[in-house]
Amino acid sequence: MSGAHSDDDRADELTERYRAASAADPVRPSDAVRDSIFAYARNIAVGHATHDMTRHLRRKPAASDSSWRISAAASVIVAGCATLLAWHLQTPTRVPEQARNPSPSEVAPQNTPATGFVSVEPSEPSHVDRPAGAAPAPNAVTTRSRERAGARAEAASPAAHDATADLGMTGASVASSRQALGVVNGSIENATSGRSAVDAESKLDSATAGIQVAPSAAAAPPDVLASRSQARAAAASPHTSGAPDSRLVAAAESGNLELVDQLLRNGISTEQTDARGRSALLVATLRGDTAMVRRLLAAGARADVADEDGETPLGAARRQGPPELAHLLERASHP
Amino acid sequence: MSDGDDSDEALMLRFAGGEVQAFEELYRRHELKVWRYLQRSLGNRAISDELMQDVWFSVARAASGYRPSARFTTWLLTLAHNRLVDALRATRPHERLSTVAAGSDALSLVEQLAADPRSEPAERAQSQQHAAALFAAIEQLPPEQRQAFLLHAEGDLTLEEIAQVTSTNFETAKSRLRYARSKLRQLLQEYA
Repeated sequence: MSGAHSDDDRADELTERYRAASAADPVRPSDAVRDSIFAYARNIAVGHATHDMTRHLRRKPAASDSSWRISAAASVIVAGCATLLAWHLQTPTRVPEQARNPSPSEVAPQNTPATGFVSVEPSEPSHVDRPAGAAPAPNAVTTRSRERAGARAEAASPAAHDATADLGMTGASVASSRQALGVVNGSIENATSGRSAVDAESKLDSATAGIQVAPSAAAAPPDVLASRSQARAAAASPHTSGAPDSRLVAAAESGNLELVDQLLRNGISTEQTDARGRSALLVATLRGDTAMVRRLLAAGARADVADEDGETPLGAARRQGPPELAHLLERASHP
Repeated sequence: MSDGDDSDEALMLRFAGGEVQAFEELYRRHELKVWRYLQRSLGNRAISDELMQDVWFSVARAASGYRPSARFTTWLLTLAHNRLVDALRATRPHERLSTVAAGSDALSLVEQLAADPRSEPAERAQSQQHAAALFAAIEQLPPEQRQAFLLHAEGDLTLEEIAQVTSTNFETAKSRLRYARSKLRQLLQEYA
């Protein structure tokens, strides 16, 4: 950090005159600006404090707090058993339906679930082309019960809902996790009452576990398996889910040069940014990853593209080095 | 950068830990520095207020990932400069010029200086003229030279830091500041 003045930039008489005139200038930014900035900072500070608390809980759970994990695991096992049972109960009723292949409206009264359990299978997209002889789309009652389960899960655990979004789950996989939450939510809440942060975390674990339970249901019909694989593909592919494609940024952040190389060879744009507007080059620069920066520059990445906070790769390199990196980016900016 | 627990960087880290008072102290220290840099570069108070808000929102957002690897002032003025460049790009030249030509801010400054009760009438008139002439001359500078001069005079940045903030090299920053001073002297002689 340098703050010393050399002879070249020492304040001269003109600068002193400016400073005197400026000090006498009573004009200030408006109070409204100051108030809004302080209000915003307070909100951010609350976020920091909450984040710190959650991180602390995640890192150092007290020995006596481990009971919620057992409860959550037990709940997931119960949910898995319920799923298997539901499949067993539903399978015989599907045989005549497959034979005559009726329309969904005709099937509706016959397919009423025999149990109160909620299936953990992902919701089936309506546009899926089913092979001949495969089971039809779920009837209205089943759909309504799934919607209710999803709504309950969403209402009971918005934090878990947000967390699933952070995990990158979309479409059918989110629906699946919501249903799983609907089953396990009650028992988790009983086990973790009074610890909201831990509660949110357990719901998140349960939601993830719910997705892992579903493929273990070996009796699932082929159409459901197909829709599951489609759901997984949708969750894995940012293009199909409509989320911004930031694979290159993620690869740069992980330091995986091979993956970055592969993505670039596949034609991924170096202009790609993440949710905060950071380019892969900026991320690589912030990591001080010279090899990655070289590769991205060779692919045509620009060193003067700023993120939401106005940070550019060149600015970041100059500020935090290493000097070689700053030199590299300077040369790229002024060829 | 000052040493001890009350340095800008320490305040920033304390804010990252959830201490709002640290942010408020930081704001009070640098409020005028940032705002005057924006306002005297743009010549428009309303846009300066908007950018000021934007800059400090960014400071608040960046606190959690802040690493004190450079002087806080340099980093802060880099944020301000980037916003300023964006605003200058987005503003049509005739809109900006008309605001500067109207001289509403400069005029209010002159009036306020004239009304300063601490000054004697003769001194007041003189300081009023000097300030008006100086600020008018600054407005006449090309944007890059004006920014270099303001970053140096208002932000107290070194040439190296000016180069860093404006994403240019040392020699360019040095020549911009030199040209700015030279032109200001010439303009002030003309006004005199």
